Amino acid sequence: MRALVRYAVFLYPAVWRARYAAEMEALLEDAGSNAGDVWDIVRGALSMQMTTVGFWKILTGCALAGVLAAGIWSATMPDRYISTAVMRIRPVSPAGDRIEQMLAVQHHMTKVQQNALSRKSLTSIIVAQNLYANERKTQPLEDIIETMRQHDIRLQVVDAKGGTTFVVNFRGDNPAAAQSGARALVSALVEEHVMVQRDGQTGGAENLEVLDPASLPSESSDPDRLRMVRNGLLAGLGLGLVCGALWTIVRRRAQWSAVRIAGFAAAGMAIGVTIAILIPNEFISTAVLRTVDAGKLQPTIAQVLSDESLAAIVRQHHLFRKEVARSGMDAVVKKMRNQNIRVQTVGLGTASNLSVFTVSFRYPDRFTAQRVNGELVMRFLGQPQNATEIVDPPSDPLRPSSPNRMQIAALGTILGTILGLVASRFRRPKLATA
Amino acid sequence: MSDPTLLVLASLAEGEKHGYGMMEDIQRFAGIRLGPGTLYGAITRLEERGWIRPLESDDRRRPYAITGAGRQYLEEQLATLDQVVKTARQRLKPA
Repeated sequence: MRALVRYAVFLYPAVWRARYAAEMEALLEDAGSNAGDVWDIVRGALSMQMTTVGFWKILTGCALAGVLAAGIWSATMPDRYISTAVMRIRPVSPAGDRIEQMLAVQHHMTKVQQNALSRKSLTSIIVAQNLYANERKTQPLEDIIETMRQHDIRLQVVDAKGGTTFVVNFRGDNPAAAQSGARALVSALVEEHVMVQRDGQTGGAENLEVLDPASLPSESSDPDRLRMVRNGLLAGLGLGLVCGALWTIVRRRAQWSAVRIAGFAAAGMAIGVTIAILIPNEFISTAVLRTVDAGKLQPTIAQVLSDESLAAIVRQHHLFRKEVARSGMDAVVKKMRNQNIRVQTVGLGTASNLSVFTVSFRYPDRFTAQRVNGELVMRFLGQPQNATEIVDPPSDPLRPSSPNRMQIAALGTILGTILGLVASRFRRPKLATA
Repeated sequence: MSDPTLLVLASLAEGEKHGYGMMEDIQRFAGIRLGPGTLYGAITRLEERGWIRPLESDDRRRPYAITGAGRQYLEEQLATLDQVVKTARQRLKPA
């Protein structure tokens, strides 16, 4: 009985035990104890635990709540399966200029994909394979097709040597639906490839082959339940940290240092503002162009953004002087193409070959951004194989596009506050002076 | 009356006592044996509210005393209970 009583007393919160456990032990020695007393102590301990809330209890509770919520949410999400097929397209005769061949293959595949993923083609796949049976009862077909394009179909190039190898992924509710969807997509791609070649729409001759047929997935690909539970745990810990800190600030003001927390928050804001000021402004100038032959847009872009063309622009406008001196022209041209220039198709016109696209150039100087964008536009206009016209000339960027200084300062303040809470919570207590 | 906080205050109104002393005293005047968990739950609440205070002691058996605020609270509660008892007795009398 004594051992039981001792274990029961241990259920009280540590703070309570430090204050009252010795007294309760003395009482039990004087009064004796029975089974009823053990239950009375256990009940008292549980009641004390419920009413004594502390930082660690809040943190643990929030973390557990986060894990539980994420676990329940992930359990209610249906499993999805991905079937994969691998295909390859390459020119019939490998002789000739390699870049031209690559551009021709790319142009051909763009056409084939556009046709295979058209509304008509996807509708016939959905109906023939009986896909999205439940969704078709409640949603319009247009929405289902859009969802299919955005979320369930993925075509990705994996290798461009010796031809273009790409994977065709289709995501379905069950392994059989995923596989039949992927098979149907492969068939649609092959059919469109034959039709495009027969009609001479792309001017080249390519071989399209299936390297690996649509797989039957053995396990679901998503949701990634472990990742969701992990994210729930992190979110719970974050919330618990903030709530626990606020609770103990209110309940035990002596343990926290408002001055320290405010100091860290102010330091965080100052660092954030400093970083935001030190990051140079960047301006983006954008022009809108229109071409009458969408099929020749890709080769035109390749010509305008070629290494020689961009190197000439860099020299002519004295761009990136320090980087050229440090890393060389090749590296600068590559970076310029990947990070500073953006060419984006914004939509097709009513005529089948019309294509509207934007050309943007990003640079730390506002006027240079506009001037260089103008140079790029002139080069697009100067391409003989593709008639292009200006819809909207290069803009003069009045405000910088980055950095977002308010956001950086706010982030610095938040991080400083969190650091101040942690530093204040775990500081060493001050020694009493005589 | 079986509220442990009132029983503890009533016991301490006579004079300072430690836990076992309160338990015995309450058993005598109210016929109720408070368990150790119940007794120390009441002591914890009363001390937090400032209605009793611990006294210095050399051993583990720490005595408690009722404070002025505790006396005032006890008087208010007893006045209410008194009113309830009077009303109930009147209503129980045969008409």
